Amino acid sequence: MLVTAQALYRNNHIYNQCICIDNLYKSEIFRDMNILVCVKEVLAPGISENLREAFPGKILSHINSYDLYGIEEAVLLREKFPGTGVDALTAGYESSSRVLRKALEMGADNGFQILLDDSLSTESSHVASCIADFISEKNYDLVITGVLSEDSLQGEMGGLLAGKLGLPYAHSVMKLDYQEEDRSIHAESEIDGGTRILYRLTLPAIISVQSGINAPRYPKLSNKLRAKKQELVVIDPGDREISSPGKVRVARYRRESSPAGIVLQGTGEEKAETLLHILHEKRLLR
Amino acid sequence: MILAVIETIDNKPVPGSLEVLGLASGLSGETGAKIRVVVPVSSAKKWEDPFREAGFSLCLMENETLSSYNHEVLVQGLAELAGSLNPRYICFPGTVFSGSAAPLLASLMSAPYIASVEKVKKTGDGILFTRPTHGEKYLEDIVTDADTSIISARPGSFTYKEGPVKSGSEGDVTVFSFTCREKAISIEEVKYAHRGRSDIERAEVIVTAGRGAGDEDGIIRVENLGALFRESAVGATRPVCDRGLLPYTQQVGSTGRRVSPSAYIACGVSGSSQHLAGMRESGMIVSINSDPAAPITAVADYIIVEDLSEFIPLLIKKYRDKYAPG
Repeated sequence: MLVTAQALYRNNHIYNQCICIDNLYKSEIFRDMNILVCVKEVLAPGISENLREAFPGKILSHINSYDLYGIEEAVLLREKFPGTGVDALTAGYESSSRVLRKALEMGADNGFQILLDDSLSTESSHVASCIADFISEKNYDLVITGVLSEDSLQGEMGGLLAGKLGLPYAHSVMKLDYQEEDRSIHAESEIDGGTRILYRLTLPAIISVQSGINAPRYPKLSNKLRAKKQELVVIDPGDREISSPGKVRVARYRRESSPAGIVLQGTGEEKAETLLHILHEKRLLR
Repeated sequence: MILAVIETIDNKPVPGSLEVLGLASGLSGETGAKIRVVVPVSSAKKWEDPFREAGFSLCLMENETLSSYNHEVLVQGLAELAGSLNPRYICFPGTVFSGSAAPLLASLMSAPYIASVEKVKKTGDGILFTRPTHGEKYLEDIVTDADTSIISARPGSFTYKEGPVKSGSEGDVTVFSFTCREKAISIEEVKYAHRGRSDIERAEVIVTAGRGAGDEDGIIRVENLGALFRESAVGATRPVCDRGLLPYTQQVGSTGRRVSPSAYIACGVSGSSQHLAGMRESGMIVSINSDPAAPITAVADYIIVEDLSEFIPLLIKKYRDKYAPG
């Protein structure tokens, strides 16, 4: 039965007609490899859940663009190794279900949402603890995060999870290969100067992917419709104690980009003439 | 005490990582805490001290796997070292490799991690760490009350100049050897990207296309602009390369190439710290961008707020009218 279900699933034509088998397959016992992709809702600065209620219908957030590369990489792995299951997880406000839908549209099998509120609980160390708990319950072989989130710019989630779970970690990955025979991955981390370090990690492992590792797909309409209907699994972190992160933000403000140089004035033509004059004086023009 | 962790490859310091000494010096100036520079080496005997004159006290952290980029072993060593020295701050450079080690260490030590710090300042509340958020358009001030905090530098915000930082006697050198637990990662290969100089490193003028330059047509416009100069090359920001519009060999920035041409003309470049780190040493910087508040204006000598699709053709026309040879 198990073999038949997998074989059927792999045939895309039949898959479209066999929703029940699809659901069976989503259960992790049917999978050869379990991948979790962590995705984040990026909010405009200063936006809290309360403010969002004041602007109903206004889109004040989007999926962290680095996470799109993570979803794509997981879906590419599943295309190559059809026994692979891809789950997407987010930890955030209720509105973060939007970014899970995006992951489903791109091909994730299931979406999990850890609900957080406005308080300290969105602090990264607490988020990492919640996600680490989820991962240890679920037996994932590979966890993928984006290298950075566009709002906090900390670039820390992969490393925090690896530390909490004691798993091997590769950061800023630009090329990923799975070795089925010994259940390991080869991950090329891109460091400064474009140098690449080729790491071998035994699964289970955690990686963060750098932008440019792949070209994230535009979802097909059929996938969009499927994602719209699919139920998400909502997880209440309950009364998990929030430990002090040891740091506090005391202010946030718009960067004053006081121009260091000269802002050219006048019409476009005048600016063009001024610039050409400067470049000519420096003998740079042909 | 402040631990400043530099990077080494084959027991020699990685130049870009020395900015951490600038961060540590700034922090030391505000707190009065002493700096100890942590140098990962495979063997203490192989370290030829390039900072002997600088007056820093050094800790050579010795493990045979530390001749290369092994963050797993580095972090184990640092956690053990921090356990015995009890530092107030552990500082990392703003390099990508340290970006893998710092959060891992923070997690192991249950210490707060403040990444990409561009300024430190003492106030009534304690030390204020200023760092960018939200595409670097915002800044936040963070204070920490932990026994040990992990801090990393924003790329390009701190510099370490060669030569003595403090006059006086040579700093002391200690050796810290450790054995690490079973290793889960191994390094199969280190692939150096750019051996030898490329066109963009040789060019007198670099004309760079950023995200704001637009699609294929926008890239062609930028290339046409480059043709006005005697010796020019076209550069690109990371997002432009990610979209496949220009090859990564033309990428300027911390993960691309670091350049310092006579003139750098940034077209539609917003100016992420990673990009600025690769071009801020240029002789003259011109920014052409429709966004007057783009972070690149902080380093540009000349700022032109215009729509590129109109301004570049105008510039080329004016050039042909007045300056074109023949």
